[in-house]
Amino acid sequence: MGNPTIRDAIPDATPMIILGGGALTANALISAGQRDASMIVVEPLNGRPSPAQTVAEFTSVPDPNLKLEIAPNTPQMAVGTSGPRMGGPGQ
Amino acid sequence: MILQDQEIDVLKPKGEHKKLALDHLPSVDELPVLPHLKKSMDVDLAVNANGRVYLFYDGKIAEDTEYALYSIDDSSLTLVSKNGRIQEIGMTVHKPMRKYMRGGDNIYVIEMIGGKTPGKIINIPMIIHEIGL
Repeated sequence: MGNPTIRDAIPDATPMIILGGGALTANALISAGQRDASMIVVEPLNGRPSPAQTVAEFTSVPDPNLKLEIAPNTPQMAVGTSGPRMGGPGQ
Repeated sequence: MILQDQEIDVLKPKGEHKKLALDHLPSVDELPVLPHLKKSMDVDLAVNANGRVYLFYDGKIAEDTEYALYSIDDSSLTLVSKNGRIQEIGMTVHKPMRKYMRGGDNIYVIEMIGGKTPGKIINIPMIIHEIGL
C-alpha cells in the first residue's frame, strides 16, 4: 500500500481546531476539496481560540478596490456649555 | 553511507560527499534531541472533531519519523525518528485541542511544499502519554 493522498487524509469537511498560523491547514483543506470545512485557529502563544470560520472565509483577502472614505466634517452642536449651573455650591 | 570524521568538510565539500556532508547529522548519541521543528519551519497542528490529528509542515524534517508522542502532562507533541532521535514541534497543545487529541491514535504528517501544495504524506502511530502530574 502506498502513501495516503491528501484526499485519503482529509476525506470530509469535519470541523478542525488548529494550532499555528492556519495557512498550511487551509491550503491542505483546499487541496483536499474541503473548502466548506470549519476552522478554529488557536493562537500558539496564549491559547486563545478564534471564532469559527470556513476555509473560504479564512483565505479571503480584502477587496483591493474597496476604499475607505472619510466622512465630511459636519459642525457639531455644543451642548451644555452655557447657562446657569445647577446643583453647584452656593445654590 | 557513513562518513569518517576526515571526510566531513562542510566548508569545502567535494564530489559525491558534497550533499552527504551538508546533510550530515551527528550520531544519535552525539545529538539525541533536535531543535524544535517550529524554529526552522512553519508548522500547523490540527485535530478534527473525529479525533483525526494532522501535522502540516513547510520544510524538511531531518529524519524519517517513526511515531509521535503526545504528552498530556507536558502538553507537547514530539516526533521520534527511526534512529530514535526526538524533535518537539515547539508549540504548547492548548486546552481547546486536548479533548480531541486524546481521541487520536495516529497522526498524518503532511508536507506542504511552498506552504501550498501537499507533498510527502505519512500516517504514523501517535502514542499518548499521561502519568497525571
